[in-house]
Amino acid sequence: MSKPQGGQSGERSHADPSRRSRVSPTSRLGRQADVQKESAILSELVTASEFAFGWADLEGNVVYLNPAACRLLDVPSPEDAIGTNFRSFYAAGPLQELDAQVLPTVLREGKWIGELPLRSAQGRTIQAIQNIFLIHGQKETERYIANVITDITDRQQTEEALRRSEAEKTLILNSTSELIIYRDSEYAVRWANESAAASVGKRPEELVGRKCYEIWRARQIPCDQCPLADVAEGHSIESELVGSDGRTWLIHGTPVRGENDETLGFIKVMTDITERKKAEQRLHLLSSAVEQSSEGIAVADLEGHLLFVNRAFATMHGYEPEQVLGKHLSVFHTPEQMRVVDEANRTAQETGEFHGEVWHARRDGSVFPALMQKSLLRDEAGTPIGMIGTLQDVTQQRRAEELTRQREAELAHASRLSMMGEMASGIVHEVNQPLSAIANGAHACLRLLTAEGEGADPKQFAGKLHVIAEQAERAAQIVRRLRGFVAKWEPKWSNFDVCAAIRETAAFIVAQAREGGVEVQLDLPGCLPPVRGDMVQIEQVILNLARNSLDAMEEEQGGARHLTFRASALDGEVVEVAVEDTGPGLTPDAAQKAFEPFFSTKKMGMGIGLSISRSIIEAHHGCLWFTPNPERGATFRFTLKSAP
Amino acid sequence: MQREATVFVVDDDEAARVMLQFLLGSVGLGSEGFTSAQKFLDHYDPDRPGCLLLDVRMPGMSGLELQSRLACQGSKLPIILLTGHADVPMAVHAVRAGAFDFLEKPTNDQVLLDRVQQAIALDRTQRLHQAAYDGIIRRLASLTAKEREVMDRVVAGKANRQIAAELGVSVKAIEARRANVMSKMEAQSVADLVRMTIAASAPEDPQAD
Repeated sequence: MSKPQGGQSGERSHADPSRRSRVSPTSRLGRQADVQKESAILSELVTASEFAFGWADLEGNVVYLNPAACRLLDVPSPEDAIGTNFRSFYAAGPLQELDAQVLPTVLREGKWIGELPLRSAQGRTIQAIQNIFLIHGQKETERYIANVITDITDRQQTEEALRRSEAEKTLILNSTSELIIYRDSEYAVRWANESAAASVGKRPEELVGRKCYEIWRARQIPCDQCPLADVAEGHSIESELVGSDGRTWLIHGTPVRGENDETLGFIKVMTDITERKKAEQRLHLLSSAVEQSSEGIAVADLEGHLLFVNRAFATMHGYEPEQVLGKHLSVFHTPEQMRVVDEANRTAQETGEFHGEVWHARRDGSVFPALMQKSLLRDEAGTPIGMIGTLQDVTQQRRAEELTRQREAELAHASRLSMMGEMASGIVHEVNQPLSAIANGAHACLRLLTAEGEGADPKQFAGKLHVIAEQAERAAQIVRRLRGFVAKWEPKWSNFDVCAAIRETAAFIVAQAREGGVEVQLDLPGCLPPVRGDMVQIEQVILNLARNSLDAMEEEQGGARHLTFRASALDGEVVEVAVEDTGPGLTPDAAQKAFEPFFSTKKMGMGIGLSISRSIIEAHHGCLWFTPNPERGATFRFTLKSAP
Repeated sequence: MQREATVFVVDDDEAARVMLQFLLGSVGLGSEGFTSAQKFLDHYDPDRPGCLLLDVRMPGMSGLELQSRLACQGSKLPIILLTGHADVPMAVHAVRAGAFDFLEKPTNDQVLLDRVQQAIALDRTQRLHQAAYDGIIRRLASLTAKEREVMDRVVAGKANRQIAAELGVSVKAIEARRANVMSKMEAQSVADLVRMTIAASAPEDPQAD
């Protein structure tokens, strides 16, 4: 313990003036016993101190290291340190700084305080603040270098960790798209993240210190309705604000409080919700569209339980929307209708969609036809999760269509009557042919039978009577055909052979054709699929086309006159009928107006034939059109759907 | 050389034609049927007597067209037009163009047969007239120019002496020529001669207007 004692005496004797004045109350004890006591206390202090210190001569040979310094420098005990050179406790870099700057400063100015790392005996690096100063021994020339070492290794690590954590937090706050600002009570921005700065095209540090209203609203004074006004009262708030650029912001404000609950400032987090807002509006629009749609809309799961219905859907069936949620689709159908619905659902699930007419039942049991469109709903993975259906009550439509059909039928009937009137001369001739044959034949028979004596040959009679019977049938057939054509008649759809219709029609016009010197040709295949429609109406169309052709050819001078009827199957589903003539064809003007009502090239024509014909064919889901023939004349064609 | 009269029946309607022929046959009238106007024209022999029963409405050449074709050829064959539906203008036109009659089908059999008989009779008369006329023309043609001079004056009612004076020849010569005329013309009397010359100058068909 001699060294501490020496140190103690050294320090006491050779301390600089300030130090001396600090220890002077001790020296003023004045008595030897007091001096010894003081020395023992100092020695105790030095040994027990947690401050590391020691001193060495000017060559660096350690004179003393206290136990704290030994612990710090990994020296087993103070005794082991004596004689070692304190320079060995510096790594190369710090040693260079020690020699070049620190020691010269100490020798020149008496002291140096600074941060310089040390290296322990075991090679550990110790971050340390060193307070190096000169002390004097008992002789005035005897000088030592003392060093009080403060280990700051832990503190530096803490600071480093703190800095890293700070950087991380900044990074996190800068990574978010939300605008984050911390401002004080005087509206001055204290901190802003990069998104906040980028929103005004600046760097975060450029914002610091400026007023928030100046930055974002270009105002000189605080905003009239500062979103953070309430926050000042101590609440967190959330509000929306539409910026001058039209974007919508969600603003979340939170007060920051100090230890004594005083408000230090406010954190303002601004989120750009423009897109979300738009999406919300779209969704709102969509949902009100769905709700207000006059079409019924329903969503059901794959089993057919309703997940959603709009008002129209419920009303259509006589319910309130909430009454049908969760119910099964079968509520809206009779068991018979349900078979169709099941089929529709199957189609929708297999092909992804269905549309068609399906009958529905109301709550009161009445039924109505509806146009239904079903689509399969799939989740993001493509797995079917349900079905969405739209429904349109087509009762009114059907009624209107029925009425239109009725009107058209009446018009067609009127047109047939008028056509028959125009054709009367030909028809009369047509009936008179067989009547004439019958009359002549019968009279001939009578004459022969009543002739005196002359035995008539019964075989001859048989042959002639057979012809008479045939002719009677022929006349009857014409009358029947005529009656069928003009009788008051309701639309009646059936499957029929279009070739039969053509033959019937051709029989009607043979008289007119004969008069006009026109040869009628039938080019009909042996077998055609039956078509679906109203046979009388189709005959009317064929007759109308044929008569137009005959009329056209009447005006034509010279050349053979032919009227040809053709029929052919275009494919499995469509049959085409063509009426071809060798007339003059259509003039450009006539071609353009041919199908207009009340357009006619004939002196006596009313001009409704082709127009009615076209509406008849269109009602049969077919087309009626014409093409000029390569040589002369025109061909009118129409198509009909074959019977399913 | 009087030939049997034939009723030519033209109608494209098989049954109508056959029955018409049957009816004609029932009263012993011979007939021949044709299915078109053209076929009839192809077989037409103007020397065959009879009449034509013609349907107006036919494909190809119509009845009216055939009528005008025959007229162009100078045919006098009486034509009875038949139609299932007659209209007045058509009937007027046909009769003006020389049709014997225009009947509407179905016709009363008696009326039809009567008209056919009358037409055949007309044809026969016409043919007789024609034959007579042809004879007069032929006989006139056989006269010499001098005989013709004499005949013209005889017919004009002049006496032989007067004629001799006009022609500057002897009465005897005139008498000889007059005897030749009477003989060549096969005339029994001057009145006969007068009738012949009138017939020769106006040989018109009494049916024509």
